[in-house]
Amino acid sequence: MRMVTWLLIVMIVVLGSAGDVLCAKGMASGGEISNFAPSHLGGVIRSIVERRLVILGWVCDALSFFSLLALLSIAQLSIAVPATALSFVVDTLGARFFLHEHVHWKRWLGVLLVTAGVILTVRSGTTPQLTGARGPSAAAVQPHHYETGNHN
Amino acid sequence: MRQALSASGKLFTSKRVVETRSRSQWKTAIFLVVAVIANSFGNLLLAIGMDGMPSFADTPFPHYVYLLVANPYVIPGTVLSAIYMLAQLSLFSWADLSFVAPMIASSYVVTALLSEFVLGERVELERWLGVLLICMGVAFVMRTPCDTKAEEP
Repeated sequence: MRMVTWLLIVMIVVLGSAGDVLCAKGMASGGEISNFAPSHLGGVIRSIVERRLVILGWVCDALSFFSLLALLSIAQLSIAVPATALSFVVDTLGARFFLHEHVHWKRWLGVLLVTAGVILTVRSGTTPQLTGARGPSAAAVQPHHYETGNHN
Repeated sequence: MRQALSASGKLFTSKRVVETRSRSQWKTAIFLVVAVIANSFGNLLLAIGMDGMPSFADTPFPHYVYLLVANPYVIPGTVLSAIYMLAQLSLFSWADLSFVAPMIASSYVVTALLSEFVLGERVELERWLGVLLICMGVAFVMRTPCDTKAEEP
């Protein structure tokens, strides 16, 4: 693969995970949301969008998604898109070292199994799939490429 | 007597802790189910909706926006994606990222089931193997507490 392909994969994974870590940090620091009554829903949404770390997390998610779009325009998709499933591992590393979560070996094993499973699933999928960036809009761009996809 | 009182206090506290944890587990489970279903169906609707759209480059922008709004799949897909995002962020307010992220990967399992049984596509063996690995992974993650930050001294 070309250097720029690797660079884009790294950007997708790292920016996507940074977005997750920032959102998780922002949400954890504001206390547990407990009132989900329909009349209180506006208040819940307002309390979320007022958290700066969450907004910063969304910016990282958006940059990760744009990197994914750039990757989709140049890369061998059957290799490049499954590689983005590594974001599950990077998320867990971020949770361990930046959020100070205690990651038990069972959780690590689970994360590795999920990563392997997602790689197999997106490699062979022809229907709408999530990608490693886990962004919903990614679904709209992937299926067309997969229909003609196995370049390797 | 003092020892007995102290023991009953400990018993009461631990019972309350167990009740709180149990309530938290139910809340976590409900929010995970909502997030996974909203994510899977939201993605599916958006993909179907966008599949029927003309090329962005060849369509005047106001007409493209009109087609997006008039598309019967795009608005419900967007609403479901917003519900997914809200559920995920709410989960982050009490549960670990390293717990929530792999659990939400169950969306891939739901998508594979939708492909086979709703869209009538033939899902390949490799993809079923992936689904099996994801289920095993989720089962392992489920055996860990959802909030380990609370365990800190």
